[in-house]
Amino acid sequence: MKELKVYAPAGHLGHGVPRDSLLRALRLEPDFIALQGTSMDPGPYYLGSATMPHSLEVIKRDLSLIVPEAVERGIPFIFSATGPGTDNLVELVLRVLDEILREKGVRARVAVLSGELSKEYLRRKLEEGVEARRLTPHPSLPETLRLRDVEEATHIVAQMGPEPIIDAIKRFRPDIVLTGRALDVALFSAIPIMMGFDKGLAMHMAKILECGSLAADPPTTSDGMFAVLRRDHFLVFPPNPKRRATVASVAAHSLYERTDPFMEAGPDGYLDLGNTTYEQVDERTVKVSGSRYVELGRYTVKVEGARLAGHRAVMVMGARDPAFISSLDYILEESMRRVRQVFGRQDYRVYFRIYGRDGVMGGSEPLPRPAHEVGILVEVVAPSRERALGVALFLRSTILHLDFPGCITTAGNVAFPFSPVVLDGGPVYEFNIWHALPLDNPLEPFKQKLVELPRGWRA
Amino acid sequence: MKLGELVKVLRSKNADPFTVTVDIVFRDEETYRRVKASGRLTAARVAKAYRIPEERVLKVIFYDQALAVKIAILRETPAGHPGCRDVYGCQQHVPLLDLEI
Repeated sequence: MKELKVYAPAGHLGHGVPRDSLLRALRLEPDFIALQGTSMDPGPYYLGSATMPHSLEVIKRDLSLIVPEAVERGIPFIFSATGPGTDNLVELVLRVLDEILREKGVRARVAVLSGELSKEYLRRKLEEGVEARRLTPHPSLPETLRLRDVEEATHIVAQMGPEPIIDAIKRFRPDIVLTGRALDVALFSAIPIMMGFDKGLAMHMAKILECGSLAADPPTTSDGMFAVLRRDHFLVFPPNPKRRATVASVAAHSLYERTDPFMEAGPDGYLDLGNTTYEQVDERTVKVSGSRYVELGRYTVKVEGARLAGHRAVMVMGARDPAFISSLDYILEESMRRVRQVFGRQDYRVYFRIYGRDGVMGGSEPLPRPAHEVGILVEVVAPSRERALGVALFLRSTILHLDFPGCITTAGNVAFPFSPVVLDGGPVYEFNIWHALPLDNPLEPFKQKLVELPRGWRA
Repeated sequence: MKLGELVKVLRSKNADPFTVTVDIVFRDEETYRRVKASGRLTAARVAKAYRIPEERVLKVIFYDQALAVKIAILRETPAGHPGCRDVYGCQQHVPLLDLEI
C-alpha cells in the first residue's frame, strides 16, 4: 500500500462531531477513522471516582454519526472511551454502541481493550522488583511507585501503546476497536505501524490528528482533520472548507500540551521533530516530512492512579463593603483562629480563593489589589462529609458576624448567593500515581475481548 | 516593550497535572529573532515574574520553526487537588504579559 488515508472526526469524543465535515471526509474514502475519548485533563476526580466529565447523550450522538457510516463502508473505527477510561466506562460506551447498532440495524464486531490495571497485577510487578519511576519531578509524587500507593489508589489505568491495538486487529479483524485509557497517538498510529509505514511520520501524524482541527486555522477540537500518510511524508488538511492547515498552525501544534516542542516521549523511545519540515502545498494543505522516531530498546507504559483525599464542602460569598474588603486578610485569619479553637483536631484543610484580587493566580498574581467587589470561595477538605460541612458552616457564621476594626455592618458582613449556604462538594481525589512502568511485553497488562453487536441479534 | 505587545499567541495549559506550560508565538519572524537575541526571556526572569523559585521553571525553549517559545513550570498544587486554582492551567500566562523585553 502506497498511502494510507486517515480521518479524525473531532479532537475528542463528546465534544460534538460535525456532520458536514464527516460526510466530506467519507467522500475522500479514509482507510480508517480514529478518535480519542479519554483524558486526565479534568483532574483526578474522574479517575478516582471512575466517572466521566461528558454528557452520555452527546457521546451517543457523536457515535451515532460515525459508527453506522464506518461499519457499512467497511472503514475500521478505532476509539478510546471515556473520561479516565476505567472498565465500567468502557462497558457503558459498549452499551451505547449496542443501542446505536440495534437502532440502525447494523451488525459490528467490536474488539474491546481494557486499560484498567488490577492491584493484584501491580502488586506482583512490585514484588518482582520492577521499578516504576515518576514521570514528573513533583514533590507530591513518590520517586518510585510503592506498594502503599497501589493500595491507596481507588482506580489505576495505563495508557496502552499501539501494540495491543495492533494485536487485537490482527487477532479479531474487528469493525471497531474500543479501548479504555490509551495513548491518543496509539489510536492513530497502530494501523500505519502495522502496515510498515515510518514510525516517526506515523507518530507525528497521530500527534496532529488526535486533537482534530486544533492544528488548523481557525483552530477547534470540535471539528475534523484528514491526513494522507505516504512513505516519506504526510499531508494534512481539514475537510471543513472554512478552515485550513497552514505551516504556522501545524508547526505550532507541536507545542500544544507538552513541555518540549522537539521531542515527545513514547513507550519505547521518542518522537524527534528536530529535523521536521513543513511545506504549504496548497492553500489548505501542509506537507510534513523529516520527523523520526528514535527507539530506545526498552518499553514503559504510563500508569495513572488517584486516591481519596477527603470530602469537600464549598461555600461562595460576595463582599462589597469597602471596610470589609480592606480588612479581608485580617478577617480570614481571625476566622481561622476561631475555627482552630473550636475544632481541636486539625484533620481538615481550608482554602480561600479571593476572586477580584488573586483568586486565579494566588501568589503569582502580578496585581493583587482587590476590586470594589470580591468573591470569596471557601473550600474545606476533611476526612468526612460531616466534618467538612461542619467547618464550613462554622466559618459561615463566623465570617458573617465577625467584628473587625472599622466594621459598620453589624447585621452581617457578606452576601451569600445560595441556600444551602454550604454546598456538599462530594469526595475529593488526588493523583498519587503518575509513573512509568517498565514492561517486557507491551500487551501484558491489557485484557482484550471480541464482542458481536447488537447483542443477541438474529439476522 | 512588554511581551504582551509582541505576540500573536500567549497561552497556558497543563502538560500534565503537575506541569503547566506557556506557549508564546510571536507576531512575525523579526520580532521573534529580536526577542531571542535580547536574552531577556530566561528562566530566572520567568521565575521572578511568577514570584516562584527558579527550580520550578523547568524549561524555556526557543522554537524557530513556529516563531515560538515554550516554557514549562512545575505547578504548586497539582490540577484538581485540594486548593487548586486552575484545573486546566489555562489562565496562568498573565505574569508574562508585562514582562519587559
